[in-house]
Amino acid sequence: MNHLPFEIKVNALITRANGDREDLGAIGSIIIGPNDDNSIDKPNETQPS
Amino acid sequence: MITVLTSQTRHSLASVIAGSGYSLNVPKYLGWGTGAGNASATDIALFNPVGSPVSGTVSVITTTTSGDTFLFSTTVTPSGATGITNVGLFDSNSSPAVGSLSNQVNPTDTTITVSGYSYFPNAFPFNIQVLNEVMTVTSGNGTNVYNVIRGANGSSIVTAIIPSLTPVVGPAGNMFMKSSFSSIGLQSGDSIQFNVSIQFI
Repeated sequence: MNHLPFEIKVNALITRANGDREDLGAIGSIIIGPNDDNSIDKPNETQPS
Repeated sequence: MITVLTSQTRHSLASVIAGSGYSLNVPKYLGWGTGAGNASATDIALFNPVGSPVSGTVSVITTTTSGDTFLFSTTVTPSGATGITNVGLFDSNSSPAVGSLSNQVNPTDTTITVSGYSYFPNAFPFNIQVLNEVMTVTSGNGTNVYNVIRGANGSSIVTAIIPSLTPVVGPAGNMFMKSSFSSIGLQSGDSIQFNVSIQFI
């Protein structure tokens, strides 16, 4: 069993000066393990348009 | 990209669960910075923070089971073109003191010289962060020279020479979490919304 207790996500959405929107998705998304060496980086869920 | 709950937050949450009368201040302000580096749990500050942390909304939402997720949301509108490399949640919107090293710092040095020292606290001790290393300032000459304890807050002493002009960041509230990522380029007039969620699973 390797069940970790919580997940943090940082999602970002840019609104350009001209009104265009760019959803960056999860720019920082990680599950915290016992120490930072065990942290798992995840790729962006949505790439910038 | 690296996202961490800070060591202080880990202790706070453990204390809350233990019912030791500890209360956690609401992390309802988002700070952002433009410096390079990878977030570490022992960090107390952002990499080259810009301005004051921005107020946001805090709520509890349901992701999988009822009310299992903390959600923070805010929108940042920088004053001009910039590249955001890291963000953090704070329990205060006070601006951190930001100075820079006047001289290089060697791994064994316990005295540093700082420009912009007038922004830092007058009373000792207090913590500062240089790169990923936290230092406790125990005394000084009243102006720009600080005597420090290296590797404070469980951080590692930087083993390389830290060059002059490296940012020195002082305390400003408690940093709840921190995330570092590839620079997000913004132009004048752009804004960016950040949503930070913590789901207990």
